[in-house]
Amino acid sequence: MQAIDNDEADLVEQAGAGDVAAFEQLYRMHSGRVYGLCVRLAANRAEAEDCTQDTFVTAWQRLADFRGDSRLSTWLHTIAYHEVIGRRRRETRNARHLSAAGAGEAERVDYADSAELEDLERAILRLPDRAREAFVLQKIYGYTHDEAAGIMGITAGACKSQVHRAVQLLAGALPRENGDDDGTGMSAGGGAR
Amino acid sequence: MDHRMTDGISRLQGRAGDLARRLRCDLSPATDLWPRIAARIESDASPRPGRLPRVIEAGRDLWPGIRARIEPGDRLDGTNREVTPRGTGLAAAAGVVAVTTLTLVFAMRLGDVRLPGEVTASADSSAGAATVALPTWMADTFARFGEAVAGTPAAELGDTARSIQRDFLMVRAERLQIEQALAASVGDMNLRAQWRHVYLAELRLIDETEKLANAYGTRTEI
Repeated sequence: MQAIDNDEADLVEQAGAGDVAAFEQLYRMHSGRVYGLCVRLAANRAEAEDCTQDTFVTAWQRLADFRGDSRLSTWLHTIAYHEVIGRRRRETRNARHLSAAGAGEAERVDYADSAELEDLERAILRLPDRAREAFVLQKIYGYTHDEAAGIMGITAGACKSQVHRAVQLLAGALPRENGDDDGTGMSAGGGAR
Repeated sequence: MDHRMTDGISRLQGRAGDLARRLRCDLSPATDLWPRIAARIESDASPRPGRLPRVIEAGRDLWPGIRARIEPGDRLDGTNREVTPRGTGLAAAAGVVAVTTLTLVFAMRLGDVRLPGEVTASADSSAGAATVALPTWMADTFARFGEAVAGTPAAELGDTARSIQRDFLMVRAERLQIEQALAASVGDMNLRAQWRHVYLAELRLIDETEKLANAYGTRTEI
C-alpha cells in the first residue's frame, strides 16, 4: 500500500511538473472512481462523462494546489462533486429533472449477479439531490460525515441529516418496489430486530 | 421558573419519553443508553450500499478528450486566481446566517436556556448542567450520557457513532474550559454568553443523537 502511495506521489509530482504521461497514469488509476461518483451524482451517463473529463482537466490545471493533505482520490472527488453541482446549476429545471423514473431506468447500472443491487442503485438515483449526494459519498464511497461534509461544503450535522433522510426514503421505497421487505436490507434496520 | 423554560422542559421530557418507548428501554441508566444508540445508529449501515461498486468504467475512453484540453503550461496557481471581495463577503455572511439560524431554531425548540445569575459556575463538569436549572434527573441524564459517550473506546464504535463522539468531546472540552474560566471570573458576561452558546451546542448534539435513534427506531417498525 505504501508503495502504491509512493508511486502515486511520484506521479503527482511528475504531473505537477508538466508530465502528461504521468497525469494519464493518474487518470487511469482514478477515472473509474471519479466516473462512478459522477454517474451517481448526475444520474446521467453523458453528463457523468463530461463531468469526469472536466474533473481531470481542472485537476491538471490546479495540480499545484494539491498539497497531499488529503488523499488524491478525495481531492479528485471534491472537484468532481463541484463539477456535477456546477453543471446542474447551469441547466434548466426541465433538463435537470427529466423524470425520476425515466432517469432511474435509463441510467441503471447492471449487476449480473444481483437484482437487489440493481434495485438499490436505481432507488439511489431517485433520491433528492442533496440526500443522494450525501448518501453516495458516505455509504458507497466510505467517507466519514466530516469528510463528506467537507466535499459538499456543508456542516457535518447537515450531512448526517441528509444521509438519514436518504436512508429513510430508501427504507420506504425499496419494499414497495420489491413487493416484500426481506430483500432490501434497508427496511428492517439490519441487526436491530 | 420562566414559562419558556417550563415549556422547553416539557417538550424535552416528551421527547425523552418517546425515545425511551422507541428504544424499549428506560432512559434513566443513561450510561447503558449510548452503546445501544451507537449500535442502533450503526445498524443502518446496511452493508448493501457498501456492496455497490465504487469503480464504474465509462462506456468509452475519456482520456483523448482530456488530453486534447490540457497543455503543460495550462496551469492555475494560487497567485492568479481571483477572489472577489464580494464573494468572500457573501460566503462570510452566509456562514453567519447559517450559524445564527441553527442556534435560534434550536433555542426555540428547546426553550430558552439561561444561566441564572445567582448560581456560580465551577470547574466541576456537572456544573454546567446544574446552572441551566434543568430538572435534576435531566441534568443527570445529560451528564451521564456525556460520560458514556466520552468513555466508550472509539475503536468499539462505527464511523457514525465515532463521529458523534468526536463532536461531543470537542464541544464538551470547550464547555469545560469556559467553566474553568468562569470559576475565576464569575461575572464575566462575555464568558457567560460563550458558555450558554457552547452548552446549547452540547444539548443539540444530544438532541441530534436522540433523533438518529428515533429514526432508526422508526425504521425497525416499518
